[in-house]
Amino acid sequence: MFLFSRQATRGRGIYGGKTHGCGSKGSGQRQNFMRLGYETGNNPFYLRFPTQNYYKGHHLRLSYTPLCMGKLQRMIDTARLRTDRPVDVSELTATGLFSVKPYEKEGGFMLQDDGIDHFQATVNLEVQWASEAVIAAVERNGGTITVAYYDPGALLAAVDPMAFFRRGVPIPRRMLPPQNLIDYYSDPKNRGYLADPAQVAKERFILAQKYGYALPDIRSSPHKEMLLERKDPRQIFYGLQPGWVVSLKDKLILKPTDPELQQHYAS
Amino acid sequence: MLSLRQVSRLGWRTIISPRALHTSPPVSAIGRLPAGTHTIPEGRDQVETSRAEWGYVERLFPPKTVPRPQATPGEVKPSGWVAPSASRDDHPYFVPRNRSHMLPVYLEHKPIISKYRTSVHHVEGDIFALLEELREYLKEQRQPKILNMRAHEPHQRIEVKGQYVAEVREFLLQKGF
Repeated sequence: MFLFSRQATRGRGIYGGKTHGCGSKGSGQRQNFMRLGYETGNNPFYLRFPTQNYYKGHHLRLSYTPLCMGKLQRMIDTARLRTDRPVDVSELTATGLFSVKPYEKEGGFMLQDDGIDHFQATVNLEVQWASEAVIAAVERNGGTITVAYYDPGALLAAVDPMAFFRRGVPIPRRMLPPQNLIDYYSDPKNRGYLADPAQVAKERFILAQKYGYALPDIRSSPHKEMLLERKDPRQIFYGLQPGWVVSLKDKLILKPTDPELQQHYAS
Repeated sequence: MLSLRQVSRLGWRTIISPRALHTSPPVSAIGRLPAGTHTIPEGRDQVETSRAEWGYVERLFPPKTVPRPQATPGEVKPSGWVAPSASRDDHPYFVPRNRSHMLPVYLEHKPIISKYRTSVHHVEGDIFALLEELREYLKEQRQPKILNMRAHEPHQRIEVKGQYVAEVREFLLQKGF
């Protein structure tokens, strides 16, 4: 008998009696079940096809939380997200509007170009994927954008820093991207964090020419320091280096003094 | 430079709950397993403490409440978000914003089933007056063949059968909610 809600049951037959959910006769009722996928003798589906390339490498591919520029602008307009600080994964998840699950093979945030026409904020963004139109929209308003890779362990720390600090383990080094992503993050066209900053500056100029806007000069901007704040490729949090332990209870940072450890954690 | 022992005297507890640990009796052969040893190499337990970078840690604290937007009443922001401007005396009814400062207009839809319901929540005051005004507005905007609407007074909700989110939002913004 099917129950539409979790109504209280007293373990009596009236709620699922007679065959008690086992059907009639056959391997089901006799509790001698057929193996999963078995189709009573004919060639089963899971054996019919030798390969399924559709899912090839699915375990290596990451998915990203989509964030469209319109939503980003709305978050800034309603003061949900502050732009006087660099905006990275930690800042975006701290708004409470997103849940990034590294265990589900999610890589972070991906900016989408829905609403770029109304984007007017000057921000220092650090996301995990951005298209060319999005990069143009951010740079046109005098902001900067970087795409950076976070390995699952680093992403877990970045997404919930408080839970990470409560574990009492040293901040790990962020790992480099895997084979299929290293090219993306080294390309100045994508504003990759591993690209040469001189090349990135050149690409900024080229993109401004392509999209037809005057590229604002960041060096003369009042928020110059904030806009040029960047993390080291091995750093997870701004201002905090790998190897440090943060004690929330004592409001202390513990740093290793052993030269071997320091060398290990240094970039 | 402090050693880990000295730091522990500052009251830095390891992360174990203060309640007594309830353990089950150990497996009988566990006493015969080889004992592992772990020694921290010399010099590794010497740590340096600092409070200089504590500002960077505070930057990572998530806000405890939803921040309040800084806008004058009726201001339209670049994203299209409009700040509320109506007061409770303007109309016989009042529709406050939800905790994220957005209009409380929602579209309920179960996937696969072609069943949509637009609802307005938190309606205060004369909900039936708002219902009639909204009915007139939606008839004018969309001229539907059938318009099923109802006001659920105890739940402070107005429900419209169908997808009318854009029109309902526009109506509420016109009223200044």
